[in-house]
This record gives sequence, C-alpha cells and structure tokens, in this order.
Amino acid sequence: MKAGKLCIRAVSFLLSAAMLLPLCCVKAGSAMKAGQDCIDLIKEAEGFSQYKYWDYSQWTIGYGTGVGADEYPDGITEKEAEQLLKDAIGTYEDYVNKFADKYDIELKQNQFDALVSLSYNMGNIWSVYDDFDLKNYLIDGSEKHSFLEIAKGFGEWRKAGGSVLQGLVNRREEETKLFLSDRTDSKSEIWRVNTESGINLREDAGTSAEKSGFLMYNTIYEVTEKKMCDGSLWGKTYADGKEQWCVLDFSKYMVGGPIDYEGGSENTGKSEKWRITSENGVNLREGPGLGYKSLGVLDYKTEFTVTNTVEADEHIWGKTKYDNKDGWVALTYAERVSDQEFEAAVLTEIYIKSEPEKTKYHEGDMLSLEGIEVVAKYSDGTEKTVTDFTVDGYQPTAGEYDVVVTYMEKTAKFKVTVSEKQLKKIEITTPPTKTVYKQGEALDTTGMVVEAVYDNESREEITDYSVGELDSTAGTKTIPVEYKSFKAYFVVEVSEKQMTKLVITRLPDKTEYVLGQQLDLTGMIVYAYFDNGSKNQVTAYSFDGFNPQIEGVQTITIAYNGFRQSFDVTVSEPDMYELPGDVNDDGVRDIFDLVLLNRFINEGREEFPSERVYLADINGDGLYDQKDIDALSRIVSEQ
Amino acid sequence: MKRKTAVLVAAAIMTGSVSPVNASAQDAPAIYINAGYGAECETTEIEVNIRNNTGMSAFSIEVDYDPRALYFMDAEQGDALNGGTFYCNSDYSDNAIRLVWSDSRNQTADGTAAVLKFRPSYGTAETETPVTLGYSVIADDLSEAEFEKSDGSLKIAREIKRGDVNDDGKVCVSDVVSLNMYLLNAKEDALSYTCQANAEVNGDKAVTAEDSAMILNYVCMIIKEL
Repeated sequence: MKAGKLCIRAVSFLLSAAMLLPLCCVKAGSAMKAGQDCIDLIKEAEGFSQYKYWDYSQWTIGYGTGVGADEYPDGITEKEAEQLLKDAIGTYEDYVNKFADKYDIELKQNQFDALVSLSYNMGNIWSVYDDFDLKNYLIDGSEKHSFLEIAKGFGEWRKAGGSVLQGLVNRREEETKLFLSDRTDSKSEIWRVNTESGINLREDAGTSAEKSGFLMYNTIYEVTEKKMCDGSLWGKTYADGKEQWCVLDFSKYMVGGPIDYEGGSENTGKSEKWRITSENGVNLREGPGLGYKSLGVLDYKTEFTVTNTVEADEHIWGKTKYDNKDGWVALTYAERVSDQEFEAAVLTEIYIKSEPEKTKYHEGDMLSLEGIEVVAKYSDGTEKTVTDFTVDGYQPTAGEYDVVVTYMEKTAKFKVTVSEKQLKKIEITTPPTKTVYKQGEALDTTGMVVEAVYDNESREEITDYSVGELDSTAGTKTIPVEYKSFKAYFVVEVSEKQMTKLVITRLPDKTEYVLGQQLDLTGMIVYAYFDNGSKNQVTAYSFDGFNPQIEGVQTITIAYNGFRQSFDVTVSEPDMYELPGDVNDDGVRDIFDLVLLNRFINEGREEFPSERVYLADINGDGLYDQKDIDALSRIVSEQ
Repeated sequence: MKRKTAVLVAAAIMTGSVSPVNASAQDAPAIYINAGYGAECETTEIEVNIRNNTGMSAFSIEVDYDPRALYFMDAEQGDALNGGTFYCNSDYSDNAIRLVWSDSRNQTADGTAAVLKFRPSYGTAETETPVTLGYSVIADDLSEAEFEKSDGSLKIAREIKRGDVNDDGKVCVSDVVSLNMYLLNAKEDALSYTCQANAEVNGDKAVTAEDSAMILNYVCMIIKEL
C-alpha cells in the first residue's frame, strides 16, 4: 500500500507551524494582525524575486509586493522583502478586520491569516459581492458550513486573466487548509482532481464497474468512504445527485478526514526501533501525510517501533503505535536505532496478470487495452497493479505483434494478431448525381460514392467497381454495382424517349427503274432521331407511292412511327420490252427458261445474266420462289 | 381338271404376245403413248411413258387427240418423275394438251412421265382413236435431248368385263382358249375391241400371254380376282 499517493504533498513547515501555534480567537472589532503562518504561506506561494517584475497589473518585487515603477532599481534583499511584505499586508489586514467588524464575525487567527493571504493575492473583492459563497459562509458562520463548501468557496478564486492557474489552485488549497485547520468536525475528506485528463466516476469501486460520470481537472470533491479495489484506493463521493466512486490515485488530498479503510495500514511483518531527534518533538498523525490529523506528539528522544514505511509529502513516514494510538511519524525528524533496515522497495519487474480482452484484430483496428492488468512487482515482495504504463509495438496492419508494456523502464509483453480485414459488403453512400434518364441515354455515375465495409466496421471508398448497364427500356431501373462479388444497387428512372424526326441519310442504290420492275430499297439508310440526342437506324418503315406500271418521276414516301420522308425515283420504258421469265434472253419463255428458273430458285444457280435476275420474278411479287416457277410453267404450257 | 389347266397354261406360255409399242430400237431413248383400251363413257387413263431415259431437266409434251371421240379430263405427273413442277394447260380449245415439267435436277428414271385421263364419247364403242404426241426434252446440259417418239391409240369397248374374253357374260376356261387362239392368230381368231379390253387384265394396256395366264389362274382359283 503506497499511502504516499493518497496524501497531499504539502509544505511541511507550513503545517508544522500551524500545529505549533496557539489557536487564538479574535473578536470582531479588535484589530487582528496576520500571523507567521500567513507570512510563510504568502512567501512560499509568491516566491522571492530580488528584482521587480510586471505581474498582470503592477510592478512587483520580493514576495509579490507591489511597488512603484521607480522603486528598488537595484533589487531587494530577503529581509527587506519580508518587511516590505509585512508592511503591505497591513492594508489587507485592514480589509479583513473591517469585513469582520461590519458583519460582527469572530474570526480565529488561522481563519484571519487565510483571509489575509487571499486578500493579499486577489484583493478584497471576495468580501464585497454577495454572489461569492465564501463571503456568505463567513457572514453565516463558517462553522456551519462543511469542509467541502469552504474548500469550494476558496476555490472560486483560482483564476487570473480569465484562466485557472495552477499556482492559484495550490495557493487556495493552502489557504483552505489553514482556514479549516482549527476544525475537527469533518468525517469526510476533501480531494481535488489532480490529472489534466480528469477522472471517471463509476457506479462502484473498481474498473469493472459501469462508468457513471466524470470529474474534470481541479474539481474539488468530497470523499465519504474509501476502500481498496483492483490494487487502487477508491473514494466514494456524491456527484450528479448520486453516490459514485472514483480512484483516488489521480486526485490530491486537501483536507478533512481521515477516513479509515480496510487494508489502509498493512503491516509488513518487519519492525525496527527509531528515536525522535527533533527537540520540538514530532506529531503522531492519523495517516502518512501532513494533512492528517495529529493524534499527539512524540517528544524529543522518544523511541518508537516502526512496522511499516511509506513516502508521502516529501517525507518517509513510519507506522507506529504510541500511547496506545496507531499513527504515522515523519521519520525525517527521527533516527534509526536498531540494526534492521527497511529497504526502499525497488521495482523488480512487471508482468501482465490479465491480457487485454481483445488480442485478435483486423487491419485498421485501434489497440484496445480493455481488461489488461499490469502488475508491478517490488523487491520486498509486494505487488501493485499499475495503470500509467505505456505500450508499443502494435501496428494496425496484418501480422503478429508483441506489444510491449513499459512501466518505470520495466517491460512485459503480450501477443496480438492482426488479420486482414474481410470485406463484408459495399454501400453506395452517395448515389450518382444523375438519376433521371431518357431512353437510350448512357448511364452516368458521376458523383456516386461507393464504400467497402469491412468486418471490423471500417470503411474505405472504392472506385474499381463495375456498374451494370442501363437497358433501353423505360421505367424504374435498379442498377447493380459490383465489387469483389458484393453488390449494391441504385435506382434510376428512365422515361420514354420521344422521336423527333426521320432522316434518310442514304438513298437506295437503285433509283432508276424500267416499267414492270419492283421497287428496290437496297442500300437506303434511314435514321430515327430522338429527343435524348440519340438516333437509331430503322428498317421497319413502310413505303408507298411506287407504281411499276407508270412511267415518269415518282415520289416514294417512307413512314415510321408517324414521321415521313420522301425521295424520287424514275420509271422509264425499257429499251426493249423484257419478257418476265425469259431469263436466258432468247426472246421466248420456254422450258429452257424453266430449267434455269428451277435451278436459280431451288439451288441458287444463277445460269443467266445477273441483270436479268429481275425477270425471274415472274409474278412480280418481289420474291423468287416456287410461285414464279409455277407461273412460268403456266405461261409455257398455255402459250 | 388339274391336267387340263396345266396344258392350257403351257399353251399360253408358248404363244407370243401382241405388243402395243412400235419401238424401232428397244435400247434407244423413247417417249411413247401407252393408250390400251377404254370403255365407252368411262374414264380411262392413257400414259406418256419414257424408256431408256438419258436424263432430263424439263420437257414439254403436246398431246393431240380427236375431241369427237375423247373428252379430256385431267393430267397428272407420272411416277417416273421425282418431284419437279408439272403443269398442264387449262386451255385446250385447240385440241392439244401441253404438259410442261421442269426440275432443277437431272432425272433419269424410266416409266410413266404423265397420266392423261379421257372419257370416250358415247357411240365410239368398237372404234380406235389415235392419240399422238410432240415433245421437247431439255437435258441436264441444257441441250435438247433426242428421243424416239411413238404415238398411240385408244381402243374403245362397249364396256369392260375383265376376263370375259369371249364376252359370254362369264369368266371360264373358254375365255382362256379364246384368248390363246387370238394370240396365236389375231387375224383368224380376231377379237372385238370389247373382247380385247376384257382380255387385258394385267393392266399393261396390251393383250398378251400374261393376261391369258392370269385369267387361267383365276379360273383355276389360284388367284381370287382379276
């Protein structure tokens, strides 16, 4: 048990002096003077400056005493500075005396000293305005108010220039102790959060208890119960309307108490004889620290047995029993008289008592130390769970790592495994900007953001995905986005494209006809244009306007989807009338033509001039088929 | 009875036959009319046949007949032609029937190229009416193929009672005797067209010893019908 961590590191001479001074009461109306406690407190807090310096609003020298700009150009001695301080304090003594007179307050010397110190540092504004609690407590009778209220009352004066200054925090703390040093009515202890990161409040003592609140740095709070848990001392406090617990390792004891707790004074089983060397004697205190209440004084040369030692408040404290009272003595003012020695416990090693709950990670995961318990082992066999260790060696990339835990240059390690993160799904976090289309428009995924979601819940934007195609039909379309077999979807609306015009981009190969020839549109290219800017070649158009029996220019009109376009062809008389069916061009239609026609139609054998192929279309239906054979057979047989 | 039948059969086999074809050379390509016999006012078929076919891709055959004796009813493609397009004119006011057939393939089968159906007119019994033909045949190489041509004639009976060679109203061994005698000497033991038509029972449109044998087999109850 390292009680030293539990106790405030106060300035030893301050409380020693406070202890030795008589606790005198001064009636209001009588002019009180600041005692040496006040002088010492101010000197300790202000520090000595041989030369003047600019302190916020004035030139200052010595122990924080204000002087004119031209005074002490060569500096000042400590003796001169103390006298200057005493002279300057007079003003503040007057403030406090007048305040006490006005409200008929009977101040004790320690209270007076604390208030003079406060005034010397902050002025007397605390005594002027009603919304400062300290003033009201004093008027009301400070003894009616708890240690916590008094501590917080002083604590209202910890700012300079708008910011809380640690120097002022410490100074108010000392003034609080001085102000309350005559009171013994507190069963609770007053603590102040001493870590900049603040401390958690939990529903019960122990790190496994549920978190229930938080105390910020320098928060002053009251501890009503203490107990050891998880190797640390925990205090119960009242915050946010309920009782909660916090570990006291990160707070500083201010005043009050002490509160006994189980395991607070463990006997190591060893003992040795000591003797008091201070002629003034030494206080036997309830706990190992200057803040603990004095249970009595061990006189000069008194011998006592020490059964345990701890370090606190810049002293080694020995646990002893004197005058049937268990207590602690500052061994600074004693000497060892036995041969036995207490060796200062030396940290020999640390080990990991419980590994973190999580030792298997995925890429990108942050290291979690939840559940880890690191124990420091000392040369005297004692062990302590430590939390202010550092860790190193973890990397959020795939692999196996030895994570090294370091505490006081001792190391221990545990293994973690970081596996490749597994893709769990993909998500379209931002759909494409364009979600409304006309038929035939190309899909545009500009603006779309696709993220890969991994099994460790990490995400990363991906771009090498594939996107499904937008078909040519109208309607609501669900477009798949695929990445490594995972799919996500977005929806677009496709409205029907509207045809705007019909264009013949190329005329038919044949525009000159002879009478009887059928219209041949081979080679003609026709496009339908749409309002989405697209165009489609169309072939399913209808046409009219052609009569193979009429000579002259004829306008052929093609029609598609309600749009029409026209072009001209010329029908003229043939140089010599051609007999349909006379494919061999012998001027008659006979079985020779029939044979050729059969072979042409049934076997594709074109055994007659190609320019006479059209004559094989005997019936003029535009087709070459059995009907033409039949027709020619009929012609041959009937003629 | 059995011995007599055997004698008659032997006699029949020994006799010659009356051929309807006047082919000058049996192995030359020929196209000919096979008319045979018909009965007055009854539909009868006249065949246009091909023999020793050297190959053809088309033909045009013109058939002439006496419209006073025959009434043309229809024409059909014969079974010697495998497919192709067969057409017969519908206007035969000039008393000519034009049969046109063509195919993309070369066809070489022998047999019936076309079957013409006629109905002999009333009052034409026991007369013979000619049926003649003209032709043009296109070979596979688009040349005109040469065929010997043979016309034919139709002999018209009053009515036809198959097997009743002597026209006595029944079919018995005397019909076989009458037929055999005709086959031996047609002039002396001439048969009327009606009797000849009755004698032609095997359907080859000619009266031969085979018809005699067939009638004999019928009489002997070797076959049950003619």
